[in-house]
Amino acid sequence: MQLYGKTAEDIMVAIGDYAAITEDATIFEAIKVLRQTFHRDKKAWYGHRSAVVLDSKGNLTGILTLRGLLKAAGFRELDEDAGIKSESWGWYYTSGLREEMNIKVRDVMRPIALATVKSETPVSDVALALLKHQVNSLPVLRRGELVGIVRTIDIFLVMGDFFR
Amino acid sequence: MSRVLRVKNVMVPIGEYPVIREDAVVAEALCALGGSFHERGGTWYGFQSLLVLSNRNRLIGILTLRGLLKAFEKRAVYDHLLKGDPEGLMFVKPFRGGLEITVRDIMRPLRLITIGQDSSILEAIKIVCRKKVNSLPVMDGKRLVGIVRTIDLFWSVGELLESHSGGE
Repeated sequence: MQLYGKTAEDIMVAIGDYAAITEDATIFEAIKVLRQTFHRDKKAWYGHRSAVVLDSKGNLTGILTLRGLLKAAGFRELDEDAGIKSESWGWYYTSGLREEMNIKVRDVMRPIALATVKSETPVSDVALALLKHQVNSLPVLRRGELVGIVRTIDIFLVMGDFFR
Repeated sequence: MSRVLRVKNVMVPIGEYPVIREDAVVAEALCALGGSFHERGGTWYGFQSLLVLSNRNRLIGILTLRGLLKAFEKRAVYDHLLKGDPEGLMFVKPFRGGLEITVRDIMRPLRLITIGQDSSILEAIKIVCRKKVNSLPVMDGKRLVGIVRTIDLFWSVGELLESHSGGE
């Protein structure tokens, strides 16, 4: 597969294209940010589905994905309360998120350190890494520095080169 | 305030989804998905998965973008098998047809992960997080009626948040 020379860097999205959020922001704030960058118009979608997470010094520490945000729902273990589950969990969930404010982006983000690929990693190996880690986006490092995010969609767009 | 939000209220009905046959090869699947799912000026149109139809015309699976990545995995295995056997090269040509990766090899069978149409959105959120998938087949008994996706769930949670913060 070395015949096809494309690497992670060739297909990734540059890091500057992503919305950024701080790691001590609340889930409520994060959802608002993502709903601004990422929105729909009838059946079409605009923008990226994740945001990059910064610490207080501005260093990148994680990726916040849609699934990460939804994970916040699991924190409240609502399923153990049958009454809430049946009717008004939505109200309970959202008021809980806003009032307690104790679930932070840090708690549900995927830390950068968990899984990364290098800028020169071949596309086919990026595909295997996405599968191995059960994710749809991976940070791309060039000499240890974060330069972009490579996503399942980016691979899909060049897959025609590999499978004819 | 009480508001019942069920999976069937936010799912995409199956009639809107593109389909592909189980014995289609990867290139055909790419073509079918590329036809429905595409970008124009930074905007994405269409769905990121295909429903899989068996040779008996039954819906048997879902092929997601991540499923397509499995084609790389399969090919790596096949390449390894062929290279591992010095005689293997001789058989490459005749076996090529048999080694073609089909949709059946990389799809997610319907029976693996599903949710009932009357389940709550919270239930769907928990399955999506626990099973690490973004598309969840929705069943009415044994019949597939729709797909609920992470973006649909995210959107309804976001709308709840905004509707509850609007009055302040």
